[in-house]
Amino acid sequence: MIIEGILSVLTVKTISLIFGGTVLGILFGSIPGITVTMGVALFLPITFSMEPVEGLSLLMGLYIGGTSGGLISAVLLNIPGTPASICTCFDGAPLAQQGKAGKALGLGIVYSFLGGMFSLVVLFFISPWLAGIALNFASYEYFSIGIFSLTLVSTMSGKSFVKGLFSALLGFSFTFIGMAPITAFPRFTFGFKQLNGGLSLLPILIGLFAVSQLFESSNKDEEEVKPVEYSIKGFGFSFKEFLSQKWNFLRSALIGTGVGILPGLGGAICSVVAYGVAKKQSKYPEKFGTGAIDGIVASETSNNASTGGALVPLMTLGIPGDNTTAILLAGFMVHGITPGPLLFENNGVLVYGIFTALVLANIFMIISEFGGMRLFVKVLKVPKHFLLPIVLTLCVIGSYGLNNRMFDVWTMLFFGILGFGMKKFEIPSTPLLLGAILGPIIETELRRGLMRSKGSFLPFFTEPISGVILTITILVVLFSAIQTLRKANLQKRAQ
Amino acid sequence: MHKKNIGLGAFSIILGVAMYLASFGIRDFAAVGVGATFFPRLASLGFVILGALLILQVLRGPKPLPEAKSPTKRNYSIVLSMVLLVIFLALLESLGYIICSALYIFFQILILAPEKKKNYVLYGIISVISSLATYLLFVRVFQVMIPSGILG
Repeated sequence: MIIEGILSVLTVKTISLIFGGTVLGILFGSIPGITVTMGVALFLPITFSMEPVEGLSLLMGLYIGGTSGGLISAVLLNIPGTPASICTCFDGAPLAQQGKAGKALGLGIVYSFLGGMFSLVVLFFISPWLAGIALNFASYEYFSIGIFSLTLVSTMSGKSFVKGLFSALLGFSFTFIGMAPITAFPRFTFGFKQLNGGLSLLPILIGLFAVSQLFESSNKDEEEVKPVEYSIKGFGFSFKEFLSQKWNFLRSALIGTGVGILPGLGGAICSVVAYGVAKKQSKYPEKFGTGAIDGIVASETSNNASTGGALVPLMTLGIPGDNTTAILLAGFMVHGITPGPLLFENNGVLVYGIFTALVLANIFMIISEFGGMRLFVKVLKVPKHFLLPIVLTLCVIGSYGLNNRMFDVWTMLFFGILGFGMKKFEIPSTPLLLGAILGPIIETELRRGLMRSKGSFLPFFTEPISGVILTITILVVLFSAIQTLRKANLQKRAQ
Repeated sequence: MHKKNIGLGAFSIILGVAMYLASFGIRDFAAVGVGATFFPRLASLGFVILGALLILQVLRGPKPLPEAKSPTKRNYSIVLSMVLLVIFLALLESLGYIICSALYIFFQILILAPEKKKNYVLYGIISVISSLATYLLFVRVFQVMIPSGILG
């Protein structure tokens, strides 16, 4: 099965799709304001007409390329190309200012590659095992996992936890629209027939993460982009420097993969955590932020390591690990494939095909970033006022292509305006997405579970796995509540 | 941000109440366990609580610092962008993708481009070429359906 899977990807068409996807992904990742999430969402509709393995390979290429591409603008422009490369700016940009941009880029690229490959090894070994366990999961366990994942809202809320919860609840509420699970009576359709099927996830995503960006950009004056000059010789850094980073690499790769596995937490949080830990553990923390290579290694290793991690819950449980994997989930669904424990039994060839595609995407990423840097920098110089309108027409094509109806395009616009409004009110939009994805899982599984238990809530706590997950959830909530109270007390005393 | 947060809190409470009232319109029967109205009502309760918390946070929190006025110069361009987008979508099915998107790209570039150096010919060329290129690429190569309108 493994060999069959590998062979299924090794066709000229699929390999070119992965290569093209990776290069495009790097472009999307490197241009500030245009994200990987956007890239994958925009290219999802074109995979409709492809074979599942071809389409998914293209999307994996975009995902891998895009996660790495952010480092280019982080180093050369001191602007993170993706949220996940914010920490790369801290040391990458100072190095570039000192005339060592080549070294910063080289480190970033090589450790992106190593981090990505590390997480794929983890994915390769963990996911079949986890899928085996998850095969025994029933409604109780899925409900508990859904509830546990919701606690992660606290980590992605930014300044205000209340606003994060508001956002998640809003996302949850949008999933009420349409047929209610199990009994299939329409809810909140307000007489619109198109709402009977509910809102599709793709236009919501494109609206929230792409269209709102356009409004955001039209609100700001454009700054002229001036990339720093650079030159790379070899990998750009010495073997001695490479060896000095081995522990930092291992730690950051573990953090990236581990945090990435938790549903809802993406590369951005991974790199912040890894950067923080690297600084704390370092013998020279004062050098961080002035061009320490450790910082670049920690950030780039961990954000790329999150890719394999985020794919673990997606492929084994059908729960996405971050924004981008949420769209990848939709990518599976359009081909009639539901990710989850059964995927490994029913579509084993496809699973190993995807693993192969991911490995190839990482290889293409390191080759094209070293070989095609000039091209990427050229595209960085293209003014945003040319790029954004064209990207928006792609958004329209993407939303329309899903079901060939204008309704989805209007949905996209609605969520674009909503996303922009939320930014104005400083409400984070990622929790909304989490709520929209987890909502149906929680609601359906709770109702299904209650039917099985004849209306008793007890089995949710007494079934061993479900009980453990719910207990952890309660502990996490209590822990963060105590922390919040402590912070509030400290602030009061400080005043 | 303080006034905005009070407004947001009020909005959240109103949304919660409205959702609660609307939940009575849901046809439902729950033979076992919870029915279709359970989560909507739970969510409406959540909205009311969160709204109240938001308002409380403002009232009990420290006095706001005078906020620096952000430049409002380009505020009109967002409204223009939104109006333009609505027109684009409204005409999409009748006029077709090629014409609509070319016009849309042209005017959107005009809105976004810096005031000083406007190069209308360049904008025109870019909009026509990119509209044609995306249409051909998606329809011919990727076989995605796009409204072709009067040209189709």
